[in-house]
Amino acid sequence: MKFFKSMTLGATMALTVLPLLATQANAETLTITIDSTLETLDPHNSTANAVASISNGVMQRLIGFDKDMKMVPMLAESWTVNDNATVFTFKLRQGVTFHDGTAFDAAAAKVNIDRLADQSNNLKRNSMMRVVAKTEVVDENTFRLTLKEPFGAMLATLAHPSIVMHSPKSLAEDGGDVSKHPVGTGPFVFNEWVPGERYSVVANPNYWEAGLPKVDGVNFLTVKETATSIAMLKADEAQFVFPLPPELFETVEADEQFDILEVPGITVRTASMNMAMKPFQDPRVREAFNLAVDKNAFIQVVFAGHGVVPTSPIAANTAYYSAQEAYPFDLEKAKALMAEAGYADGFSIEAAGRNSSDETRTLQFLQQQLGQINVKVKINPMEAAARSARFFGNDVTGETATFGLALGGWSPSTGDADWHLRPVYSTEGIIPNIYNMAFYSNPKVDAFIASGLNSADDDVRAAAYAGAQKLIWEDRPVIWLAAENKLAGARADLSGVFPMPDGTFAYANAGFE
Amino acid sequence: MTTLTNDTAQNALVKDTKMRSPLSEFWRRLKARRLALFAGGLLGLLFVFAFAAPIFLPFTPDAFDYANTLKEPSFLHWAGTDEFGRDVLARLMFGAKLSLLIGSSSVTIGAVIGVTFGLFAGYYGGWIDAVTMRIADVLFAFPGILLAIGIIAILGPGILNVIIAVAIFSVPAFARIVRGGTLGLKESTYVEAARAAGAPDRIIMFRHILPGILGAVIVYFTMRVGTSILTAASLSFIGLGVEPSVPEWGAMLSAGREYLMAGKWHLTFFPGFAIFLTVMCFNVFGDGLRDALDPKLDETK
Repeated sequence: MKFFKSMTLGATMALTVLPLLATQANAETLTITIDSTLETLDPHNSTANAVASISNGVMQRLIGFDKDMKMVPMLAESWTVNDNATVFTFKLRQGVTFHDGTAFDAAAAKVNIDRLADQSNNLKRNSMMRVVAKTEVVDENTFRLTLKEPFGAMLATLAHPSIVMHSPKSLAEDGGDVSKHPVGTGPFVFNEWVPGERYSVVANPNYWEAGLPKVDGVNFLTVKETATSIAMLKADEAQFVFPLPPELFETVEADEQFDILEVPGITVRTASMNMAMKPFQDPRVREAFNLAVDKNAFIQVVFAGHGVVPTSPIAANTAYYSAQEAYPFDLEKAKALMAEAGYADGFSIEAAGRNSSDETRTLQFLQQQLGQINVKVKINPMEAAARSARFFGNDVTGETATFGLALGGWSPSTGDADWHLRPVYSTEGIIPNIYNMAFYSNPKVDAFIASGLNSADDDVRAAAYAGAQKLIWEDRPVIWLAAENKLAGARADLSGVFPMPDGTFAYANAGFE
Repeated sequence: MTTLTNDTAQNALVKDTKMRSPLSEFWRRLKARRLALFAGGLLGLLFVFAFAAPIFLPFTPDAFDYANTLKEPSFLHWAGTDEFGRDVLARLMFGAKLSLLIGSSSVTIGAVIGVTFGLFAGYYGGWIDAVTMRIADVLFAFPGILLAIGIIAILGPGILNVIIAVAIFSVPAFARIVRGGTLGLKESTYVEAARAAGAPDRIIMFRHILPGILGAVIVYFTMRVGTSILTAASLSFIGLGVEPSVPEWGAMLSAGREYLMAGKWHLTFFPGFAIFLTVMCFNVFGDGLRDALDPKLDETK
């Protein structure tokens, strides 16, 4: 009996250890945990950061971003732009082939841009290419793009992580297939996708850039519980964890086997004040709200100190940022302004946001802070579908929106001022259209944004966006809360995988030292 | 003269253990169950503390202090502070009030409805019985927490809706217990006698039958309060109960969970322990009550 018992025990132990040994032997495979499930593998048809992140090793763009979101050549080696920003000519890299063996050339680029620009395809990223009038194959390696109207942010838009180049063959075979089996030119080839669970890629032996890829493959696991992903990192079941929740920063940092990767983000967290509501039409109330919230304390409480107080509607490392004077925490002045506006006794509002841990904490924080100027805040953390209907449902208008404060966080993945100011602060951006949850409309701001958009001249654009930022800062349609740092945890010997300021991450250069 | 006879009669009663009043008999039997008594005492203490907390605690549950967030238990903050620098002990005490309120009010509502339906079903039988018991069967088919989640999904989150949800899932159990008791008692001689004397149904049900089954109802009530506190905490834990800023035990546990890996054990330990202790006390106390109220059980020594 005892013998039998130990036999069973031994067998069980062997069975438990075997899979572990198998992963150990294959040490050159990298495992990354992500916090969301993937709905599709086609970046053209997704607005999710996770989809853009897992795709950037498989499919590439004409123009890429470096660590600091500065544009760098990728599949296009060089480009020229005419003066009024309507004609863009790209010299493409030669000798690049897709994973299915077909060559990457101007015709392939044309197919992809045409696919995005065609409104009848109903792709989620169609809006970014709607400005395209004509695409031309000049010669095998020269591709030309002509726009309907001048658009100064076109290059940055092409560098957006979602504007990737699919193999034309894979698009032609079956239009829907690239959402399940993408084919690109990157250092990694699609291997397997189990929706809701994992996604994996393997090394591309024919990759065009010398020395890459450095690992045999990459697995992506969806792990929603942050504590679990940290446990996996510590057990070496994962070597890269993104995002790393700020409250667990110290636990990971304390262990020298692991590194923390921290970059300043370009996401600006805001609480939009519903300007369709009477109290928020008074600029003194909006100023009081901005003064009554202690942003330094906010960053401590919600992001464990990993962030900066915004000094403009856009983050400091977004192109054309222009610094404004920060609003100090001044409770006395806030109270005086409220009294002046006739709200000495405050009023009641609802604050709505996601039910994620950071936004739930944000809502409670605002409730505490605004309580100091007698504003009674009822907080409403909503799950994704409810939030989406509440903020972006087709019937949302200023008259029907009942929330007083709406939490938001916008990061311009083009790295350009336009794709932050236009969605969040222009009249065109008012929800449900894009992301202007304050129902803020200032014709002067709209004019500045339009003049920046319609030029490719750096000085003209800088002047236009500086003007827009100044006006928005004075109008205060939102409470600017924080621009949080993007955090990732990694095994110390891992290199080439890093978080990007826009909330995605890059892994094409992954390697173990 | 009469007073004198009464006194002598009473003296005689005290001497004769077989002839105590039901209340003192119950008390004597409960006293013998030390653990139950202890649990009951603990609950009483919790009750007193919860209501006296604002008097002796220097902090209010909502007082934030961003300079002292996530502090471990100290002499000043006995149970530490949370992510907003709020005193965990003050919040626990406020949460105790809330949990007791949710637990007792929801079970009271459930008991009143359940007892009424059970009495009618048991007494009248026939189609009233069939309909009531089939509805109870349907409610029984769902696990309690699932039923509560379903109800919250319809009504929306909030303290009042949590009370309603927990009340609804308490109804069928009470209805069944009371129906069973009623079926047994309605054939008994004293009920027959009442009926023969011309007492209306209403009087028979509430004056003659109900007191006979009240013991079972009280026992079940006590145990149910524990379950209800647990259910309410579970609903808040998954974000369907109270607003996150309300110091409800389940909500506190849920918020503290995010800091567990960061070593902030006090944020989950104290609310978790409070839930555990309270629910267990109600169950142990309920067990003791059952034994004490059951005349069939022999006396324990």
